[in-house]
Amino acid sequence: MSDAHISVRNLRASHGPKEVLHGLSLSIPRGGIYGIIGPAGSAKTTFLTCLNRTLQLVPRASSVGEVSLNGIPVSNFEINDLRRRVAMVLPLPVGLPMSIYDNVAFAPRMVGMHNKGELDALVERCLTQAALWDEVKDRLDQLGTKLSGGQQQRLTLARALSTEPEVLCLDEFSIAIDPVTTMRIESVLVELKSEMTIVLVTNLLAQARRIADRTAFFLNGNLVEEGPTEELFVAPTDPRTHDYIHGKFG
Amino acid sequence: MSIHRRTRPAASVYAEKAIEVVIHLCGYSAILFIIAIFGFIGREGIGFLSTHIVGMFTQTSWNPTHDPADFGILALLAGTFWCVGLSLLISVPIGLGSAVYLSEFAPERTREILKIVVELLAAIPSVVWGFIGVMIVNPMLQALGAQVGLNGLNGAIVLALMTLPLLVSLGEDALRAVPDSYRQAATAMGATRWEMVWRVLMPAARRGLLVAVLLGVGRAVGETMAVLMATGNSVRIPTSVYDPVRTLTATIAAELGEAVRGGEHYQALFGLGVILFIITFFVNLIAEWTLRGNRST
Repeated sequence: MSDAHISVRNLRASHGPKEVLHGLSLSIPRGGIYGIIGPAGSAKTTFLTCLNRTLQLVPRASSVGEVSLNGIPVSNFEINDLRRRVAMVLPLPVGLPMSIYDNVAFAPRMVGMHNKGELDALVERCLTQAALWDEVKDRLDQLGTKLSGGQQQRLTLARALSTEPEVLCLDEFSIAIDPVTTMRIESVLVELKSEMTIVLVTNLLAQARRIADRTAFFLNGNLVEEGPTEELFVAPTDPRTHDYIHGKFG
Repeated sequence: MSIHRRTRPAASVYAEKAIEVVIHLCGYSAILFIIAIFGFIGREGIGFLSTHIVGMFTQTSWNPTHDPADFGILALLAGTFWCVGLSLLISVPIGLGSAVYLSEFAPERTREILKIVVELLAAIPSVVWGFIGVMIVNPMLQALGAQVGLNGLNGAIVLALMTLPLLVSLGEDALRAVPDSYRQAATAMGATRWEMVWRVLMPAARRGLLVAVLLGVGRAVGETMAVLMATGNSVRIPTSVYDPVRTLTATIAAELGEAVRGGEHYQALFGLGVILFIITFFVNLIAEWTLRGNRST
């Protein structure tokens, strides 16, 4: 238990009267990429939103159970501090309607970083980590919304990194972008995993298999099984996992 | 086996055509009306404007019944923009603040109720607002030290209350049109609700908000009855918020009944109408351009 970065015990979450997560328990080790796979409607996204408590922004949604970060329940964190520690990249790229520079400097400025030199360095570092620096370094004052979809998704990633998070959650980040950009972001994630814990929700089995160190299989709001990625893919213990991996449903 | 396909009866085909024609006419009627109105006001006013335009824009005294008559409209223009400007100082912060509250902070039930109430505010006839200016704002301003309670500030307060519903409902629409993904992205980076509103939503919705303000301006410039009753109707260039003023609209409303039909005074009032029309036309045009810019980005 001591090496678990995030531990989840008996987590139930509901949208209105409908329970979508049925008492799920799971622990995510520190560092590395933790993949979560499963068909649509298996509450993968809801699970992610419980990690940084963005679930409470959804009207009529609620959750019970324990989610802790470094052994401390997430409900004990100051909410905005928690969201800086647990960053989230959403499925569709979101360039905020401001310059590329301001997109990345947005979060640091909110915590009072206004020193030009410090901000410049941070913006460059985050954009470099997100593999976008070379493409935008000459036009940082251009609107973030004018970038292509793939570039915007890397901008979203750079922005997520700007809070220097300890956990980076990605929710089907490749859904709206091209395969080349997807591969670039994947290699970025592989580089980042030594610095932070990455939780990767994906619909692409091949993606989980390529880069996840451990993988969990969700089905209808339950955890079916989890384990080292290769084991899960080669020798799943549960027949439902076997069926899903071999395309029998979902 | 032969297949018989039923076709529509001829009568229904013609009816369809007829309805199409009527619908087209309805669509174009707005253009027709605006041209007709401009033509009507213009016919009476353009001739006067073309001969008196220099005097109108260089003199401040408006004495259309004197001999020789003065037709300077600078004081009237000043009165109009003074009232509208002051009213914006009141209505923009309150209106946009209320739009932000409705769109981002209010619980769903509160929002529904407040929206109905705000729309009720829009349904109050302008003469009733004038009455409020005379009976309620007037003594309040006197209690605050104004010598005359019917003055520019009174008119501005009444105008602000009248344009508020427009600002609130258009402002709220503009804010709610901002994609939720912006809200999620800002919140996911640890922005508080207000930081999200101020740094992300307001910039994203700025064009829509500007349109709301501009349409409010258009509404305020054209408002007549309430300002006629509330502003004190004294032709002068105001130097204090407590100075009584007179607006373009109030001048037309107050004097048209007394002016001899076809006479110089009568034509001068139509000239004012043309100027008013041009002002509101441009305000609306700018609003429309702003909105178009919004669609293209």
